[in-house]
Amino acid sequence: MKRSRSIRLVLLGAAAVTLSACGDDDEPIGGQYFADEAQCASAENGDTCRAAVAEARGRHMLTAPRFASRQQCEQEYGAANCEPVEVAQAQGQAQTTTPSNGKPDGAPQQTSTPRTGFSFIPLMTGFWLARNAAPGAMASPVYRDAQGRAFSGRSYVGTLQGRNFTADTTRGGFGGTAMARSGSGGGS
Amino acid sequence: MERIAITPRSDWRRRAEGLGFAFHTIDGKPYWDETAAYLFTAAEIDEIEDATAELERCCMAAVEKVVRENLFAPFGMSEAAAALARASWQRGERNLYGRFDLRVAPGQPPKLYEYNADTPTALFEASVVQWEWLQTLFADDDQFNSIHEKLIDAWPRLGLGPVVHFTCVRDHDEDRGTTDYLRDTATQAGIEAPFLFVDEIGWNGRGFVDGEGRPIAALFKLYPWEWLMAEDFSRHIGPSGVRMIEPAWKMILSNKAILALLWHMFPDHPNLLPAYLEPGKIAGPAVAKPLLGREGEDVRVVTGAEAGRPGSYGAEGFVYQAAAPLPDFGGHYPVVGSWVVASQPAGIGIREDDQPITTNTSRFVPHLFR
Repeated sequence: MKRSRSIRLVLLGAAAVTLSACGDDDEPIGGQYFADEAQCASAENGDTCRAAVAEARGRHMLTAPRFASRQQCEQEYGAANCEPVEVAQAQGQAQTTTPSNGKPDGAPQQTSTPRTGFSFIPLMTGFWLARNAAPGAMASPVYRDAQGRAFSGRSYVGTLQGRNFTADTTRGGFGGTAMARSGSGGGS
Repeated sequence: MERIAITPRSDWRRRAEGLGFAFHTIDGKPYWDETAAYLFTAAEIDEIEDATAELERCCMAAVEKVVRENLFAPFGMSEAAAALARASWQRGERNLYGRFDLRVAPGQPPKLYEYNADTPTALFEASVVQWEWLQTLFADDDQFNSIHEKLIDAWPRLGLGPVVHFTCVRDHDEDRGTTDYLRDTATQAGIEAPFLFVDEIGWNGRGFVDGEGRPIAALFKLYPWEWLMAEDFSRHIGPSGVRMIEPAWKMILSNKAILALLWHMFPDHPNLLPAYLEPGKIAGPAVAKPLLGREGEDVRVVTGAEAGRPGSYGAEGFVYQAAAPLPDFGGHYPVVGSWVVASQPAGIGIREDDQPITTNTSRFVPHLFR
């Protein structure tokens, strides 16, 4: 017998649909870091920057990593790098607001919903503006961890010292030959 | 060996897609073709298997000679490329797979046309699709094909870490399909197998990283070594310590100058065709092949002292191989792709064309033996 006894596929076949739906390719690869809207506006269109900041803020509130205590959050993101978010309960639906948002003095914001406690999220230390991204999918919050590494979502994008961002990963150093041979595959 | 007409399964498209075979039809024409099959005897299959094992041994001896005697110049390899190839060979880096393209004709020994040692494709259709075809139509017959099992066996023996990244070019169904199939086999071998496109690979000053900043410790690349070596990041390959699959020494075997070296080392070997790096040494017609040509491009028949003419390939030089036309099975010209996995013969896949030079428009036709 010179043939395989049995063949099983775990990624291809029916599973492949699920796999591509999970999206290998959803992470913004090319892009640029901006500390705030003003820094963005010095390089990009002002409207783009305003929309990007709003979008990044929105994502920050929805998707920032959450911790039960300030200590746990600061362990990951460093001292004074975390803020509380109020976790409120309204008709069975969890909602969050930041007490410090838009309040220079940091005074807690009064809300009418009953208070059930706080959780802690890292401060948004700027945003990542994706290159060639579609509107509504162009900006994501950037977080700095305790080691000074900057992340956009799950993607490591560089290092941050204060507001100074260094993109220490360069990309695109492979793939040029295929590009020059327009659409040529690498197989043979 | 004969070509037999077969009634295609009415649901072959659905079945192919169910397997995840995304490129059964290319540019509107069927690439997977089950209107026919090649039928072999067991003795013919044994002969192909033995020839494959023998050719792989010859190739390993040739790499050893190139490294030991520093014979990189005829291959047109840069100093940097030679250094990577030499180091990977001396470290004993193991290889995963390769495909010998053989001339197989009834009553004649198999002859090597060329060795796709670096980035062979037509793997999934040989390993999985034709196996499934055999199971449904000829379950009592056999097929020279244990590629799938051998791949799963091979991964843990390559001495890579728990994570191997996989990469290929964008917008190419066939390359992506082949890469995903290999990821599948690696996953079954217990290896984590994330994918990224070749232009997404990052360099952070210390090592290669993926899109999430994770280090790339081992990289399977369906992307030719000579392309990598022409690109900016190639200078980081050595310092990064990344393990590459295929290893860098495969640059020697995927370069068609190897055909001339093999003929020089093993003259009159029954599985080799006469081959030289200079035109005019072969009595009768010869085929000029660019050393780094792909998919049959810029291959042409020459006579006498006529040299090859560079097109999109060929500036790097040519090898001149004695012309040995593909056998003619009623206007169909099959080339037998004989697979090695971890240097062991593992099975065959047949592509046929309606013209005697196989190009990337050829069709894959299944086989069986009894």
